[in-house]
Amino acid sequence: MTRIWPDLPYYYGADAVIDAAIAAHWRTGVGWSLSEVLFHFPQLSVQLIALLYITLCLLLCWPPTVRASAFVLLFIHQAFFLSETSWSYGVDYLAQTGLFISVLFYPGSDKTAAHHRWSLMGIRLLQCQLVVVYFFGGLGKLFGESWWNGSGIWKAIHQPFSGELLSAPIFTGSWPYLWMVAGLLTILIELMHPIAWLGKRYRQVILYTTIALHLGIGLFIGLYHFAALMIWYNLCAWYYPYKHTTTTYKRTPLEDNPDSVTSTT
Amino acid sequence: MRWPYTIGTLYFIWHLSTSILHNILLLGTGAKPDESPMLYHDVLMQYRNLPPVRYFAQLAGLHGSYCFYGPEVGSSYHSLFVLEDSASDQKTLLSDPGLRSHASRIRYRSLLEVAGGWLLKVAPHEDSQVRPLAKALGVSICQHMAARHPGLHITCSYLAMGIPPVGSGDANVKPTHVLLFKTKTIYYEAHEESHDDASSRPTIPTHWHRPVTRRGNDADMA
Repeated sequence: MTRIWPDLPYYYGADAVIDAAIAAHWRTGVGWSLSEVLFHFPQLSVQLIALLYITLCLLLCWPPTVRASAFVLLFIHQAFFLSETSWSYGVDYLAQTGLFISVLFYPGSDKTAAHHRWSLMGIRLLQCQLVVVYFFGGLGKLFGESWWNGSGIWKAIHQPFSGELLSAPIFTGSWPYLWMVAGLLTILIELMHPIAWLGKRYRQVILYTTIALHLGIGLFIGLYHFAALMIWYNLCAWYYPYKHTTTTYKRTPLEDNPDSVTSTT
Repeated sequence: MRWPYTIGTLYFIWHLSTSILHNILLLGTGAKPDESPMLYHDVLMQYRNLPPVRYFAQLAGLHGSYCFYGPEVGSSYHSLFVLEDSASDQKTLLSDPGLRSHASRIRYRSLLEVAGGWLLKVAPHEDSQVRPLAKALGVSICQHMAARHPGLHITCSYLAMGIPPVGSGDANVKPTHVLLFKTKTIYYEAHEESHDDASSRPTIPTHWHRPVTRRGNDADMA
C-alpha cells in the first residue's frame, strides 16, 4: 500500500483513470466497492482508508491485535483490490486468503493445548492451501506447450512494465535448452509440492527450491510483492512450525474433561 | 471441547474443496478453450454460483485461478501516450498514464492484459460487449490524461507486443508491436476537449453484464 500510495487517486475516486461507468463492469458484486463509495466523497477519503490499511498491517506485528487487525483488514483489502478486479492481480487473492486464515486460526496469547491444536489446524490448512496453489499452478503449465519448449518462461520474463532487477539478455534466447530446463524445473517444483509432507529432507528440498523459484520471479519478472508474500507463506507453512522450539503449555485440569476422568477411574 | 475441532475439520474440508473447485473450473476453461465445456463443468459452475459458495470464495480470496502464466503465457500488452504541444511542436511519450511507482505499473499491466485480451477477442466466452468496453476504457484513460495535461493533444494507443521467440538466435531481432486501438483527444483554444472520432465513440449500454475473461468471471492472476 505504501508503494501505490502516490497513485491511489488514479485508482479510486472522482479523478480515477477508469470512468465510474466502466469500472462498474469489473465489480464482483460481493462486499463494498471502494470506488463506488469514494466517487461521492472527497479524494482525501481514499488516503485515509489507505492510512488505516497501513496501520492495521503494522498492528498485525503486535500479537494482542493480530486477530482484530486481520478481521478489519480482510474487508478493507477486499474493498481495495477484490470487489473490483480492474487493478488487481494474483498477490491480492493470496493476501486475502492469508488474512482469512489468520482471522480463523490465530491462536492468540493463550498457550493452552487446545489453542495449540487449533493453531496447528491453521498451519495444516495453510500447508494444504499452498499445495493446491502450486499443484494447480504446475498442472496449468503442464497443459501448455510453451512451458515444455521454454518459450513460456521466456515470454514471462519479457513482460512490459516488469521493472526487474536482473534482465535476461536477448541473446540468451538463442539458448533454447536453458529456457526449456528452466520451464520444466518450474513445473516440477510446483507439481512436487505435496512431497513436503513426506519428511524433513523432502520438506527442506521443497522449501529451498520454492524460495529459489520466488526469488527468480522477484528478480527476473519484477513481481516483488508476490515473491515476498509467497516466500513468507512458505516459511510459515514449512519452516517455523518445524523449528526446534520448546513451548510449555498450561495443562488443562482433568476435571475440565469428564471423559478423561471417567477413563482413568 | 470436541465440537470446535469438528467445526474446524468441517471448515477445513469446505475451504479446500472450494479452492480446488475453482481451480478445476478455471483450468478446464483455460486448457482447452476451443472445446465445448464438459458436463461436469456445467454442474460445478452452477454449484460455484450458489450464493454461499460465491460469497465465501470471494471473502476468502479463493475465487481466482492459481494457473500463474499457465497453460500458455498470453500476449503482452502495453500502451503508448503521445502528448503533443501544438504551440511548441514538442512531443512527449509516456508508457502509462503517469503512474509513479513500479507496484502501480504492475497493476496497470494487469488492466492492459484484460483490455488487450478483449480487443483481440481471445476470451473463450467472449461476446460483443467486450471489444467496445476495451475501447471505452482507452477513451477514459485518454480523457483522464487530457484533464491532467491541459493544452496538449493526447494520443492513446494500445499495442500488443510480439516477443522474439526463444531459439531465434539473432540478437538483432527486436520485439514487434501491433496496434490494437488508438484514440486521440484534441485540445481547442476555447478550452474544450473533444474526441476526434466522436461519432464512433463507444458508449456503454446500461444493460451490459460484466464481461467474461479467459479465466472466468474474474481477472486473471499473475
